[in-house]
Amino acid sequence: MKTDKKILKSATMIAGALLTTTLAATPSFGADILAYNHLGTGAQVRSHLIDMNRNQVNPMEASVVKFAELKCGEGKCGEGKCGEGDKKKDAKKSEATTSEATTSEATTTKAAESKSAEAKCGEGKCGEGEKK
Amino acid sequence: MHLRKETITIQERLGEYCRTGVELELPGVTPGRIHHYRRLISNVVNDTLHTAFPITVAALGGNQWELLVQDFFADGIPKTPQVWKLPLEFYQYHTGRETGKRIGKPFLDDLLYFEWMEIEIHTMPDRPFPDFVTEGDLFNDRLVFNPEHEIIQLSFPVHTHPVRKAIDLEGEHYALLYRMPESGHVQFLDLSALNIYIITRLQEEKVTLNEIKNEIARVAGIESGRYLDEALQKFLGDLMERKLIFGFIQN
Repeated sequence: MKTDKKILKSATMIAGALLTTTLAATPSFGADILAYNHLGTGAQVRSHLIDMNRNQVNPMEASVVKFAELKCGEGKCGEGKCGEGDKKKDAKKSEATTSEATTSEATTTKAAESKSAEAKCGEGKCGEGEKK
Repeated sequence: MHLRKETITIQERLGEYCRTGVELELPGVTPGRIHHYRRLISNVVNDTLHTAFPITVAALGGNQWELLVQDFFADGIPKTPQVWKLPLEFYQYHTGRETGKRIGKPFLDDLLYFEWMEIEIHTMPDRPFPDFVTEGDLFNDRLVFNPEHEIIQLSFPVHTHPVRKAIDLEGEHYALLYRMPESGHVQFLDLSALNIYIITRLQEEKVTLNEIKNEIARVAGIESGRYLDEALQKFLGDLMERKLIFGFIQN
């Protein structure tokens, strides 16, 4: 992975070049020279980027992606037990945190919200009900 | 717990079957049932990776994504016993094999890295928060940053653009990810090289903003610092509001 030291070095070189070119272009700084973008939370960024990227996939591919979103895959394991209870809980949690999401966005946002929460362990989904 | 050599061999063969799907002779297996193990394990792996990399899935499309997962599952031999770290191994596996280049998707490394980093920032152990005060002089006091952040450098701006556009914008792109103190939510900033330069110098070289301002003014040949003052005040004041900067070191 790229370390901060390398990034500082690279950023230093680019920042130097940027300053020089900015100076060449405009004799004085504008207040927006340090402008940046706040992209939002993980869920917002993901939701936005998924939508943007999905639009470039052909309809056949898009349906494959949708199928994959079924996660545990109703019908995949054939037992109908995997994580059903958890899915409902997750859905409730997501709904509570994304009140502004529209119906079509809700699916994406749910998947997005769940990333950090579920990806942490990825365990406990299949067969939890059985254990209890 | 010590296992018999035979048991270890059987476990390894079962693992190999689950990864590759190539049936091997295994003692004690009920005929026609073993494929359920492979199917259930595949579900966990698919689900974990799909949840971790939803943008990559959307960008590649389902078919290509499935190939990447199958390739990793069959040849990558996941080593971590922690399921949440599986996406890191997936990223490392495909980066190591230059999969992106091979399949004509040079942005793949960046996209996997970007998506993994969110999990890493969200899940990383707490970093000690330094003492700070909220009142101070922005230009002359040393600033205290939220330690729970990482700066990432990307060759393609996959964090701001769909990949079909990002691919034409190869260069040096920066994003900063940080964890909010109370909620634990990961926040994303898209920053310029100049932004990064200022942030990293303030932290790593323990200088004041005034020193950096003078340096920028000297390089850029600015005599009146008015615009620069305003720009710096706006930028860093904003980062304070967003809790990337907590406050000032107590003198």
